Amino acid sequence: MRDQKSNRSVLITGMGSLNSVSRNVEGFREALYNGRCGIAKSSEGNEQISFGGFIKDLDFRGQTDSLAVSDELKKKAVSLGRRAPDGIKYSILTSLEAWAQAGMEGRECDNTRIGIVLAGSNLSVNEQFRVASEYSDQPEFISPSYAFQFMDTYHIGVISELLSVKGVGFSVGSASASGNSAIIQGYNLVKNGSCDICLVVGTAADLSYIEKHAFANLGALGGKDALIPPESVYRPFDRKHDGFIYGQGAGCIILESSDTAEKTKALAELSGGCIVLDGNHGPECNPDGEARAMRAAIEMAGIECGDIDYINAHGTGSPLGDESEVRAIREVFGSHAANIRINSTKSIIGHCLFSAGVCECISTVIQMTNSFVHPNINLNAPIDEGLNLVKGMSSEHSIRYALSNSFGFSGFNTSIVLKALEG
Amino acid sequence: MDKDQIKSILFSNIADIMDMDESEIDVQESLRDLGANSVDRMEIIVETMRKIGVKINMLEFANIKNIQEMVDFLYERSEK
Repeated sequence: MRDQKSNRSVLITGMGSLNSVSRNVEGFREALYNGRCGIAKSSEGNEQISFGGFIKDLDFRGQTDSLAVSDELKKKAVSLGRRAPDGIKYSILTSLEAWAQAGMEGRECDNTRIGIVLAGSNLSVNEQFRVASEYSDQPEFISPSYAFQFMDTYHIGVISELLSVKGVGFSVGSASASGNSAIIQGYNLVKNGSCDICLVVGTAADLSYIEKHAFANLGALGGKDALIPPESVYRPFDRKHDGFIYGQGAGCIILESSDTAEKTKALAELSGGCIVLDGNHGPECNPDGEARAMRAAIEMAGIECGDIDYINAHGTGSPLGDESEVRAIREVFGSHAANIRINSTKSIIGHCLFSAGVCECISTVIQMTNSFVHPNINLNAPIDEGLNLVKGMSSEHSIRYALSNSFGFSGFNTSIVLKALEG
Repeated sequence: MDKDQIKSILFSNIADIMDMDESEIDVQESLRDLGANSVDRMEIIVETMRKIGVKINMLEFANIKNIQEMVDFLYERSEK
């Protein structure tokens, strides 16, 4: 372990992305900039649970082939992923894209100083449901590999074998805040010297229709009027919001210590982040917990509230959730709140649940490095006219410090601070 | 199911799981000779039993020396 007292900062040096609107980071940039919505209807029928931002028709071999990595690495990726569940394929593709962007291949570095943190838990419930449905009366025929594939940590094994990563690794679960929690744990590992480089991986939540129905029965799911066109159904921060729409999104970000990274190649700095509980077992949100998470992240970053000029909101489109977040933002930022541009990337790709924080961190870095803010899709009548919720089209905006929020069922509140790099 | 059908199912599963061409499979070789590790071998056997519709204890495969013997064994047991 390196000196824990170093003033090293934590840089983002690579990103990989895959979701309903795009197959890579450049495609994601284009979709965000143009406000292109990925919400569609699945083949499950004309009902509430059929709305979603789905990753459709992915050609795994073709997509692997399009990445800027060596033929040897592509071959290894196909070998590890070709028979694996879709979620593993997504983790492979996003990790490789990020690995390529960070210039990791062929670089001389100690692989025992590279770590992996996986975001989320219960990542393959749809696969579990399929296996249970198919084999409950003939368990002799269950695939032997299922014994290690049903565990979330299989993702870590696959990625570590693919990239020969031999440092620290684990998964982090905190419901819909898992993405941010994983980023924060990755930050801590790099900051305290447990590793020099850390991949933070979020894969697409693979819900079965059982979980989708449970969310609907809870009242948390949007699209209660199933006849609304899919592209108009998801309305975070709009008065007609009626719940979240599920999205499938995967992402990987590579964090690296400023002690070892080439600063000129970094995309942004991760300046801090905080997880706080609000003492609640249920799905209710808590403005006080949300405000405490934001304040703590800002304090950790060593800046003032007035320095934040953009917030990537949790913004799930749940009426209580949106109102709670708006209240928390007003409480933390006071009169400065009106100056901050705010959007919800969920309005474009859906609520990616366990990976939401990773996908939204990538969205934040894309907007920061390309100096724009994307619109909140379907925002016509904002629930708070006094806040600068981005409406209509993308607009130019120079972001110096950004906050990205993720909150989760059972009292999880998280916030991270990203800083633009000079020049 | 006749022996050729069983052989065809086994070959197809070996090719799929080992990512190889069926023409590369020699019945005189063992799954291990083809590069299958213990998980690959169990995947091939379980998937083949599922498609044939026969349930055999995995321990009974322990003494099978090559792919031809496996075809014969699966055929014999599927007849019962």
